[in-house]
Formats: sequence, C-alpha cells, structure tokens
Amino acid sequence: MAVAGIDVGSLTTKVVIMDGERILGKCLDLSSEEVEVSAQRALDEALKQAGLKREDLTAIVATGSARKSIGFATKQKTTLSCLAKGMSLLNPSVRTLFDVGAETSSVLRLSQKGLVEDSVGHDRCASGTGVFLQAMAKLMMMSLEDFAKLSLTAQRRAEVSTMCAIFAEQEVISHVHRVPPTPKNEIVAGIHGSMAVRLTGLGKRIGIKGDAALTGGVARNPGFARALEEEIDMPVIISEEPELVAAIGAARSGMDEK
Amino acid sequence: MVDTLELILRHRQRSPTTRSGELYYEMLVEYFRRPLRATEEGTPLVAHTAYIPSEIFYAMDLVPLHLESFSIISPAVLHNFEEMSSVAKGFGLTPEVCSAHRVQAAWFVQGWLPRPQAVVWSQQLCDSINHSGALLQEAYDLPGYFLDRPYYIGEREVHYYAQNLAEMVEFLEGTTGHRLDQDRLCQSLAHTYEIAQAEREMYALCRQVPCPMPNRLGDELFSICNWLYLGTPEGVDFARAALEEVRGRVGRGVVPQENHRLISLYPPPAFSWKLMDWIEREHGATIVARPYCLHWAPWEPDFSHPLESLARRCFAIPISRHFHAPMMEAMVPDAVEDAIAHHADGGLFFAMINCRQGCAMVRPVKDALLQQAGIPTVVVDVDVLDPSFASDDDIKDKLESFFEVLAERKENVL
Repeated sequence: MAVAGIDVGSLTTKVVIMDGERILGKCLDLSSEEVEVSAQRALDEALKQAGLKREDLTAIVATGSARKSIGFATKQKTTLSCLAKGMSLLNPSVRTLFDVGAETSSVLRLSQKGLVEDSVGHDRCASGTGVFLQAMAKLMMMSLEDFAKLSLTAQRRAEVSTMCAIFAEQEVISHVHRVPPTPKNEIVAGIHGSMAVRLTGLGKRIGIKGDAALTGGVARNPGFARALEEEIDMPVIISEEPELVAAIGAARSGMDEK
Repeated sequence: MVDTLELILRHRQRSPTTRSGELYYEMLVEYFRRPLRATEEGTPLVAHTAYIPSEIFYAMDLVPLHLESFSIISPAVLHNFEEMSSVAKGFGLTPEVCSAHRVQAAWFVQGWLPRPQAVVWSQQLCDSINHSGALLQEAYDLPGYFLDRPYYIGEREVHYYAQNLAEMVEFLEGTTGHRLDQDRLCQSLAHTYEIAQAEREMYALCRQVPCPMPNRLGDELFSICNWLYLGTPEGVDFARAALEEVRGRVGRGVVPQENHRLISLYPPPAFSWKLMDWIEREHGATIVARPYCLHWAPWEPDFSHPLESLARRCFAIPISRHFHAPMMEAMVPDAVEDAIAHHADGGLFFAMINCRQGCAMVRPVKDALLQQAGIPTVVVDVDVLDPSFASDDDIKDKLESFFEVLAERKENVL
C-alpha cells in the first residue's frame, strides 16, 4: 500500500515513498530543465531504497511549482495543502509554518486539524528566498555551509537593506570595504536578519500564532533560523528533513484518498 | 480602439451567447464612438473622472467621456500597455503610479484624446484620479471644475456636496452654453433608480444556491450601468436584459456543479476578464457577492429636490461609498454582511499592486471576513493592466491553490 509524493521545486526535486506514517525511501536531486526526467530519476532512486517497483505504488502525487509537468503522477496537489498535511503529520502542534525554498517563500497559518487557515506568499523578487542567500554567500566568497554557520558567532547584526537583493549586495560590498571593515560574521548576521525581518513582516500579514516551524531548504541554515527566532520572539521547530515536508504531505494526501 | 471593439462585437454577433453579452459590446462601441461624433458635430464633449454623476451630462445634453473607463478598456483591447507605460515613463510617471492613470497621462501628453470642451474631476476614488483631471486640464489647456466630494457620510456632507453639484452645473452651463433641464434631470434620476432596483434584485438573487448570475455579468454591469450609462435609458435597457437573464437562471445556476461560492472584493485585472469564465468553467467557482459593485445603500429619488437627491445617490452607489469613505463604515460591514447573506465560502481580493486605496483595505477586510464570517480570503497581487506583473498562469496557480484549500475545509470542517 505504498504511495509516492514528489515535490518538484525550482532547484531540487524531492521524492518520498511512504506506507502509513513510515518513510520507506526518499531522494533529493537537482531539478533539471526536463522536469519529468529528473522526477523519474528521483522516483527510481527512492523506489530502489524502499525495495519496491513502480507497480507497487497505489498513487503518485506531484506537488511543487512544476507539478503539472509530471505526466506519470496520478494526482497533483498544490504546495500549500501538501505543506500543511506534511507538517501536521510531523508536528501536529504547529500553527505557523514558514516555508523558504529556492525561489519562493510562504507563511501558512494552520488549523488544529492541520488545514490551511490562511497563507501569504512571496514570489516576486529574490530577497527572502534561498537564491538570495546563495548569491550573498558567493559574494562573500564562502561556501553556503560556512555562510550558514558564521552568523551564529556574531554579537550584533550589520545594517543590511530589507527591501531588495540588488541593494543588499551593494550594502554588503560597502561593509567589506569600510575602514575598518565590518566583521564578516556581523555582515552575514545582517543578511540573515534582513531576510528574517522580511519573512516576519509577511507572517504578520496573516498573524503569527502558536508553535512555529521552518521548512524548505533554507531551514538547513542555522544562522537564518536563529535570526527568524529572534524576529518572531519564539523558537522555530525544524524537522529532521525540512525540505521533504511538502513531498511527505503529497504522499499523505495520496494515502488519504485511496 | 473603437474599430477593435467593433470587431469583437461582430464576433459576438456571429456566435451569440446572451443578450446582455451582445449589448455590452454594442454599448461600449457606441459610448466610445460618441466622443468622435461629438467632435465632428460640434456637440460639447466633457471629459470627467469616475463618479462625477452622469445624470448631469444627460440632463444638459452633453457628451461625456469617462476617463478611467477609457484608460482601463483601451490597453485591454489594443494590447498596448507597454507602449503607453513607456510614454508615461518618459513623462516621469513610474510603475508605483496606478497603471490606469499612467495610461491616461500617456494619452494626454501625446494629445491622442479627442479635445473636450471642458473637464470636471473629483478626488473619488483616489488621489491619482484627482491628479489625472488636473493633468488633462493642463495638457489641453481646458476650463475645468474640481468637484469636492466629502469623505465622510452625513447630512452636512450631503448638503455641501449638493451645493458643489450646483456650482459644477453653473460652470458647465457657462462653458458649454447648454442649460440644465430640470425635467430631464428627474427623468435621469428615475433611470438611475430603475438600474439600482434591478441591481438590488439581481444581488438578492445571488443569495440563492446555486448562484444565478454568471461571473462576467457582474463586471459588465459594473462597467455599463454604474460607470458609463448610469441615469440613461440605455443603462436601463442593459439592466433589464441582465435581470431577465438572472431571473431565468434561478434554480439551475450557471455551472453544472457549484463547488465554490466566492465574494469578490476588487474588480479582476482588465487584461483578463476571461479568468472569471475560467474559474466558473474549470472549478465551478461562482462570484456570489461583490459589494463594491452591487451593494447599494438605501436611496430613492426625490423629484422635488433633484440635485440634493442626486447628491444622496452619489453617497449610496457601490464602490464610491466603499472606496471613498471610512472603510469600517461601508466596505468592511458590507463585505461581512454580504459574505454571510450570500453563503460565500471564500473571499477573492485582487490586490492591484499600485492601488493604495484598494491595498489598504486588504488586511481589515480579510480579517473581518475570517473572524466574523468564518471564511478565508485569497489575496492575488496583480496589476490592473500589466500582464507582465502577474500573468494568467501565475494567477491561475494561486487560485487553484486556494480552491484546494476551500475543498479541504469543506471535507474537514475546521
């Protein structure tokens, strides 16, 4: 009775194979221009881990921005409802969910039953998304992993614009060239802080209530997670594999409708 | 623009759908032909901004040119928003300014608009409208009158507004040489009343499940009856045709299965009214409430005091009373009342990104609908004229996501 959930994001494709609440197999791979091909590859890998074949699956549910390109899926569900379903399975107490992916960010308010009560998204510019952090790490000539951790050592945040990725880049350059230069960890803390302020502002449009969680690839960034906790003034729950939550929700919805 | 509208009309006539659908294009063609004829025939043409009462033009036998309608419809028909936007940019207007008013500015500075004899304008519904009227006056060196419409609603304000209407009439009489005919004004008020009554009846019928009014008809009513032909026999004809169609659909609705009943809180983007057909056809989503368009406040004409009665009408008409008034007095309570009475299960707010008036309402309206009517609202950021800001596909994606949320809410009562 296994089902597959496929989350096709702009940067990565995530697949989970589930039976009940158990994850039998999973895969995270880079999305390619041929979306269906990369989804197929990721599904095959996850099936291999689970020791199953395609015929063993009773449903394949696709979600994410390119979900409609997955012709072999038996069903498509939107990202919002999959995130809600996935989170209610992993952490039923969560009422506010911050999801930060490569090119979009969203905040969801969830009901006790794990349904979306309200949501707000941001997909019109790079600031507030994973690619913004990627660009900033490149600018600072650091790996994304080092960049993510460095701000944890800072005592204060350097001032970085909260409005625009391009202006933020100019601000970072001016911090680097100051005499004396602003310490790197403070610049990175400033970058994480600016993004956290933006996302918190988004969240306040729908109201931040109850336990909060952070999902998406950016949840792997401890510096940003701390900045977000400081801004919303409460801890954020991060599941073991935060980028898989929507795929888990997709699989879950496949099970619900069997 | 008129030629393109005529092409659309001919297409409609070849494959007729409804009488109101055909009338809609006939009336648009006629409305925008009249200014051209007026110029040729030497009849006074008066440009005016939204919610300058059209009954006055009817009673004075003047040809009106509604500037906002013109600037919203022209890029949607001619698909030339980019060009218009570029002209406006050259004039110094950036994308933060309402797109409809950037298009107006482009027409004005290029001198493409037929030359009116005068311009009358007001601050309804926003500051941009106020500035556009002043810009036309300056660009064409026209005599102009600014009609000050009070923001608050009360007896003192009605009297003040009636005085201003009288002054505006005096100005128009002096500028055009046409006199206000009191009998014709009363006749026009009677037309307006008939339109209002028809809209009230149609709106009440929208409470029924399934909703008998097609999504697009609501927007067409708004354009024809509330904007272009209010107070005219043609407007009455359209309202009657629409009412007949809505009555005829009572009990059977407009879609085989009505899945979602929505309250619309702002007009859809002008470049894609087809979206409204799409949500109806593909998702069984019907717009059952649209306070900004059909929620009239109580009003009936008083023929013994026509100007004062007209002033009262101006405070009662939808959108003017919703957008140019404290939102907690009109927009928020009307939205909540309509959502409950019309059994809406979701709110749809097209947030025009450069409309400060509309965007300021998003949060209070959305919160009130959730807290008092128990329904969620999707806010779709769009530009009223610019499809490059949010394309049809972007918008459809957001709406599909919302419909999924609504379906899940129905399956599992929150």
